[in-house]
Amino acid sequence: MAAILTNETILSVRNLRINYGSKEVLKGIDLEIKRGQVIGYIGPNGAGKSTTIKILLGLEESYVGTVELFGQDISQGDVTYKRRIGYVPETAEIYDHLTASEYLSFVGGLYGMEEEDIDVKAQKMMALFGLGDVYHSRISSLSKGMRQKVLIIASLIHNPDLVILDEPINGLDANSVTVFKEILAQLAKRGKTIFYSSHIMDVVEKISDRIILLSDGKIAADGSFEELRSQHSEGSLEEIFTELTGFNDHKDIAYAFVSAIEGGKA
Amino acid sequence: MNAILKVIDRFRWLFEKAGIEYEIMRKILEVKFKIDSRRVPTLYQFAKKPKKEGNYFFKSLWLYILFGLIATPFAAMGGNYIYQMTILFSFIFFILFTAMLADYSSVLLDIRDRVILHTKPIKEKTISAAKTVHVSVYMFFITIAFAAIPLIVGTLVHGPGFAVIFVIELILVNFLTVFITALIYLAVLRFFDGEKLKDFINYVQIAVTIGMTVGYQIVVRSFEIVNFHVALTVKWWHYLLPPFWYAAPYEWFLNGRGNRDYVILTILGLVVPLVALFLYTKSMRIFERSLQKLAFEGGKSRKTIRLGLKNAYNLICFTKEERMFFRFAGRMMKKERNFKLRVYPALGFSLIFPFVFLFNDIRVTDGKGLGGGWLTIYACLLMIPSVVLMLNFSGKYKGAWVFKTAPLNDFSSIFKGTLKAFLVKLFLPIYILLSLIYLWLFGMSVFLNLVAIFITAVIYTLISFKVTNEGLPFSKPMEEAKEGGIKLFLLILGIGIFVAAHYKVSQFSYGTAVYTLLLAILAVWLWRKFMNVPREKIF
Repeated sequence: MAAILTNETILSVRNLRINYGSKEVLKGIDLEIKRGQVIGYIGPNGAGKSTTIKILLGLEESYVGTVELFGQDISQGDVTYKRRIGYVPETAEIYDHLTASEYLSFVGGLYGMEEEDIDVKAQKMMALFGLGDVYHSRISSLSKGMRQKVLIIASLIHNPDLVILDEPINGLDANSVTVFKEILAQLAKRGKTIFYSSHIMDVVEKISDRIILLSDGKIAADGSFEELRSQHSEGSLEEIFTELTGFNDHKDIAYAFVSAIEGGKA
Repeated sequence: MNAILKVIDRFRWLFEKAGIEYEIMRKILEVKFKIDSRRVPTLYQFAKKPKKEGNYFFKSLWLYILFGLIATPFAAMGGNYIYQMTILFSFIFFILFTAMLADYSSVLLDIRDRVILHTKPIKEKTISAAKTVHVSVYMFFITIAFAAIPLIVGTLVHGPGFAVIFVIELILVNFLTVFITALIYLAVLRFFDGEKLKDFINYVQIAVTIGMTVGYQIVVRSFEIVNFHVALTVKWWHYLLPPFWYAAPYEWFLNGRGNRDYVILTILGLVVPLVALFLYTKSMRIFERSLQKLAFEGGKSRKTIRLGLKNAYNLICFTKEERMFFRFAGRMMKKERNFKLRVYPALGFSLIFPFVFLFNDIRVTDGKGLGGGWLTIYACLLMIPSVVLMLNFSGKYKGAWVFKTAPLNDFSSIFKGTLKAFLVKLFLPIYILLSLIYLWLFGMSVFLNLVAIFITAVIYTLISFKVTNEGLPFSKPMEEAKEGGIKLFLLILGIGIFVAAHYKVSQFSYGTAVYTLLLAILAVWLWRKFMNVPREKIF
């Protein structure tokens, strides 16, 4: 196996800002991600995680600042950089009138792969995910977990160098999650970069070798789990998360909520 | 659909010259057509044998063929081209624009595609081109379906010159429809965002549909019958009405009347679509980028002002559940954009149609036709079947599971509330407005007649419901709403029975009073009978 250049910069973001109307969603983000890293990208709802991902994928172009992927400035209108990215969208958008086989061959085709190539790969990947017998079934007839697996396969089929995952394990059962986590670890070992955005803290804690916490459009923490632990409370990522986002009244809110259910005696 | 792709393949060089990745575009189109062919209408969903896959679109084309047949006399008439072809092209524009706005706007404005397609290494240009071709293929078939019979008949009557002009014009008209629509959307996308943008698009769609109808009336009234000859004096505003552009070449080339007016009109017909095409290709990129605005769910929530109508609703709905569904259905009708797009133009028509009939009545009878002229208010009932049919559908049909999980014993309150909401919130405002105008025109003596017609509207609503109901309201996907063409057609014809009966009884003394009473009894009886929808239909 060829030696992996761990020093290669995959993603570089400088002073990234974006507004929606009068609302400032990202307030100046700086990021430098090296090859082979597994990044856990976390933050409260509305912190700007999805917006960051949209920008990386060229879905959102009204930003200020520079974004470079694989050393290429993505604002120049050249879309070839997308060839090296795989993406699982949070919204799980998929053409579900198609069969899994049709969808995968379509997506592979968009990445410029050859038909037979896709079919061979897709069949193997489907079978390994336990979906061998639904390869020719319509996606609309699959369960939520099965669909999610199809989306995961679709994001990896073209052997991307950077995999952007937005809540990728939605609906997967515990065993599948174990397999998936192992897949991510092995991909990273082979020099793939993983950008993993999620609200599920214990998964992020386990798989990431670097955690970036976004809060209110700014980076609130950046480092390995161990580093975050030594700087903040000695607990789980969940506890660090609540501490960093300044959230400590969960008990009061829960109490008031339960009271409201029972008739507003709070 | 493979045959279509093969035809498109012939133009490969053209796309490649424009810098479009042809292979990718073809793949996208292939998938899009495949998806379209798999949207199975509900009617067949539970059929024991799965039906063969087929594009539902092609099964809806017969309706356009029928329209084309109705319009054919205008192609076959003698050589008064400026009149007959203006009318024919008014039809064509109306059909293409309404199809474009109601059925195919979603293709242009699709943002679901963004996540799947724009994240791939494809040029934006290619995606836009795929969208445009996708829409154009459907517009092309609608055009063919409508124009085939007029084309053949017209060519037989007027010779091959007619065919040449007609075919070239149809292509231009298609350009005009698709690109003008896209440019209108582009303008809207530039100036608005968030929820306001979506609302505004909705209003534009509704306004264009109503505008087409009014425009048609203007077109028809532009002609005067002078000495048994239909004549047109070209005025400046005729240059603004595209149907005239496409009628002028026939006068020029087939009748040899190459005067200044007809030459200018002809040139407009050629130049405007080409300019639209040019502008569209130049602005495609901006269009795609602006679409992102649609994805952003923004805007602060506004507090709605509650009028003191709560107590009034207690008079209309007798149980708490019914009131709840009344309110819910009322809000769906007011806020669900897909529903509004399909229904509000129809409401606009029902406001306009009575007067269209009234004017015709006056014209035909030289102003003496006012005796039974109030009967023209029946025209506002024509929209009832299609709106009641639409109550089955929603762009957000998946939300309907809440009905099924809620602890309801009596599902009839869902239907009662919904139909009452339709009658009170959509129909009644229009009807009251019309009634006031009719009372002013025809005097207080028609008051009882207007009451009778309102009760007829209730009965008509109930019958339409019985015929078109497909289960819970707002529970079927909007894409399936194109079914039911023949049912609607029969229902609309059915209104004639009521008009005839009413006209007959109104000629006897006390006839109207007795008739009104009978209608009221029928309405109450039907209300009880039709609201008990069998459970199998709901689940």
